[in-house]
Amino acid sequence: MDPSVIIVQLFNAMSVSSILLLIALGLALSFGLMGVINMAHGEFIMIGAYTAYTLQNLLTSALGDKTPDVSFALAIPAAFLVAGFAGFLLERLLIHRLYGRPLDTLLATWGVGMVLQQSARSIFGAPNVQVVAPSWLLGGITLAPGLVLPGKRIFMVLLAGLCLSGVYFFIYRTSSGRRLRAVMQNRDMAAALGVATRRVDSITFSVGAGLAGIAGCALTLIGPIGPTLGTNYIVDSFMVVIFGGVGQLTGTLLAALGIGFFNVMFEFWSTAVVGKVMVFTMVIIFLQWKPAGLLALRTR
Amino acid sequence: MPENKILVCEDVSVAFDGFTVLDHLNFSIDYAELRFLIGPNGAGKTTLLDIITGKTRPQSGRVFFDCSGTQVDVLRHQEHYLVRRGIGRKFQTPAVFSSLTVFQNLAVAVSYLRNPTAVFRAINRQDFAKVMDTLEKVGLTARSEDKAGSLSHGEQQWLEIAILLVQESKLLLLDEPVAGMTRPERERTGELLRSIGNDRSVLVVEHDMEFVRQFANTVTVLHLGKVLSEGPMELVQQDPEVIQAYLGHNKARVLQDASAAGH
Amino acid sequence: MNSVNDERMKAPLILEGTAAGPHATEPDTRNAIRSQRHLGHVALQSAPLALGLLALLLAPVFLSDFRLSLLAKFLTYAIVALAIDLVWGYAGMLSLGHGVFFGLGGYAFAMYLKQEASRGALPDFMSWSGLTELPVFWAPFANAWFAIPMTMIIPAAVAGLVGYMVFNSRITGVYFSIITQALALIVSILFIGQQPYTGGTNGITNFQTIFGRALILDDVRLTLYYVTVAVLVLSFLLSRWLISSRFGWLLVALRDDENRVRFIGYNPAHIKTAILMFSAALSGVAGALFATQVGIISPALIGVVPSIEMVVWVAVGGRGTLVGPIVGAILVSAAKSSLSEGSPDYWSYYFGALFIGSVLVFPQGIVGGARQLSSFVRRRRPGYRRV
Repeated sequence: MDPSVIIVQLFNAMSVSSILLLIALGLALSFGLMGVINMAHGEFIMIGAYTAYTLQNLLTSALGDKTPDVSFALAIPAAFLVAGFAGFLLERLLIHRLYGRPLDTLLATWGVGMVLQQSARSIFGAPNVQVVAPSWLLGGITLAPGLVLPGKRIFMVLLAGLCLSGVYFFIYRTSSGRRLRAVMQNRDMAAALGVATRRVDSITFSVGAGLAGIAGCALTLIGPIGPTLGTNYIVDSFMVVIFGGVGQLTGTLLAALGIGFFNVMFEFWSTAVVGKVMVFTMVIIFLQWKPAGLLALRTR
Repeated sequence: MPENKILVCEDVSVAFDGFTVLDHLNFSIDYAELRFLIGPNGAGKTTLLDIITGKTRPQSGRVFFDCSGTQVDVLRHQEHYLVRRGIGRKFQTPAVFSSLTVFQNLAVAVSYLRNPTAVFRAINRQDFAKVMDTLEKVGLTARSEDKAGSLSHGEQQWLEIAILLVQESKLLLLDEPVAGMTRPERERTGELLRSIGNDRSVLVVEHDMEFVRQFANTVTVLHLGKVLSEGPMELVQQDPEVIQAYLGHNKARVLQDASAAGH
Repeated sequence: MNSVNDERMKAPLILEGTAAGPHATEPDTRNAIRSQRHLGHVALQSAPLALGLLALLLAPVFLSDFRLSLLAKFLTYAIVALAIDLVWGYAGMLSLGHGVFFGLGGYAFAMYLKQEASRGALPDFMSWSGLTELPVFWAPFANAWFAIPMTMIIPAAVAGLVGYMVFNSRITGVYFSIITQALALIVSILFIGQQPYTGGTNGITNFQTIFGRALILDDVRLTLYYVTVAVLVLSFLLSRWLISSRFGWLLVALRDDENRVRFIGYNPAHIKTAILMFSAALSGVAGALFATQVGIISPALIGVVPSIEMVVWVAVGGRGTLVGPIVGAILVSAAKSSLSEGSPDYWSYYFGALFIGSVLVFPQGIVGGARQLSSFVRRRRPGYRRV
């Protein structure tokens, strides 16, 4: 096989993993912290993507041809904020009320997801829409003749790397992060020591939603977007959470890399369908061996 | 396996994330013995119970359980298998089935024996009698039709002990059986443990020193994952090492310290 | 589990848990008193059930053909809802993948119906996809007496395999839910992808006859309707017997405290796998009845979204009660078909709201809520003493 094909495939796998990582980070954080799985998480992706789309439309009259270049740069923080705010509302209005009822939370958030999808359909229409990619991402880096790494994919990897570093810094280097870890390990004890657990929940959940928003923004680079954008990625990112184990960033990172890699590889060798089936089977078999996931906090 | 021992732990070591919890521990219990296990927090008491019940696997060591003459290698079996061989456990926080009635709690516990299809049939006469006797013994007869979730903390502890009794466990491991009980309730529990100890082996983990003093014959003191001292309560209390390590320098403060350390 | 949850489970268990009468074998005065009360209780509880059954039996007299076929469809849903409730309402495992079991049953029987419709020729979608020969695994399904047991065996086998692996690695709670959802996704895309063998996106459709008789005949339709009612009643009775046996108590015990179940000597993985398999088999029969009467089975009917819709039927009707899921499935489906006839767009909003509301506002569902209300009223009546 042509080695350049392999390199391009590997790089594709990495960019898929990057997106999965961005999505799964929020899921893993809120699961580790509150024990809830947010089924509307995919809709934060969709919100992020439509934020980029809306921003582009709004700026067109003012900027004309230059729009994509400027709007995409603005869209990333905007997607983070809009999706983050949606997450904040969801946590405050719904998830918090269902504390300690993880299965009910799962159902209720699925309902929220349905409403959000239908809202997107009502506002933006059912057909997919296209966000024009900025010109500064159109090229690529030519490693060798016939071996080009596309700029968009490079950008996605860098973006995920940046976000991961940000989250790492937030969790391990800030006082909010310290409180977050305290609540994750022992909620009652943290509360007794004066940590405002509600605030920690709220901030963490919002940040997780914001990251999904950024992922949605990045997804506009590789294809058209629609109301059901999130559902295509959400089950895979659940698999990342299960595979990676809860409570440690490294586990989520490795799991995202692993699942993204195997998805692309199986897809390359056979079909996307077989790829999905194989990944699912692998995760189930893996859990026989390590039920708590790749890396989990081991405590007494 | 030595004569008259129901359980033997040899050279057992466990560490969590590099922190040693049990350190080459040697420990054994006789048939028909009521043994108390004490020690400060983090001494490894609960971890030892986890190992005996198959919940945690040690990094090294051997654990054997004598099941009417056949030797069971505890470290090779899952929890439910060990329960069937006769190792029963009461957890630190009472674990009962709160939406089942008291009767139902015992009826499901009594039915696993013999064959798996028993759970599809109504409870038979012997089992019914056994459940009723046990309810009598722990004083819950009047509450047999109430939801276990509506019982008081102390009553839930008794129900959990009753579950072990209907299962005819040969070795009962009781983690803090008198926690949250009033003084009269503790008295009753103590008497109950004594009577159980007449024909079965009972290992009680307890922080309540007053209770231990009152009901313990033999006490094992665990400290930093090792057996620090073992013997009759009076002797253990005099052991300078125990006083040094566990009870603190000031003997007068022994009581308060020990019970304060518990909670 | 929090107190809200505990409260929710109390009402149904008082009613249904005592149905077994564990003390019936032990005659004494106290039990005699209890069983008298018990009789009254049973009568009170059975009256609405009998009325409901009567309504189902007489429905063909009052309903138009169109309405009757809708009702038949809803009743197949009711069977699935009952199956989900055993797993979720009683044993506490929220399955988001029951569409798969429903679908496997449906496909198994569709393979028979399709072959009968093709009269020995290659089924149409296979020739469209370029197959020239019937796949080996299709052949035995030409015989209805092979296909019928398979509608239960195949779903139960898949449930057994996935369930045992999942439960054996002690995966519980939301993890289990997510894995079953992934299963629904995987199976539906697998069925879409294998067009030559499964009919792809379109599924399997265009059935003609069953046991040589045309499916459009009135008496065939009526017979199928009554078969569906019979299966529903049978499933209900079987489930009722199951949950009032000690096995049923054990399911509730699993929901309360799985670890304690392990520490009274059961392997929870075995119990959970067993109930999941039973539930899957019931769902499979429902799927077969659905495919026969609705005339199609396709990936869109068995994937992630329909699977979670099934759960909402149970939530709306009342989990942890046996009547609830049946009521929920019929009501929600009826609402869906009447509302989405007018404005399909709005159905998503209603349905989303139903999800949120069923959890947030009335977690006990219709039947659970009604029971609580009636026991509240009875308790306030003078002279009433709680048993």
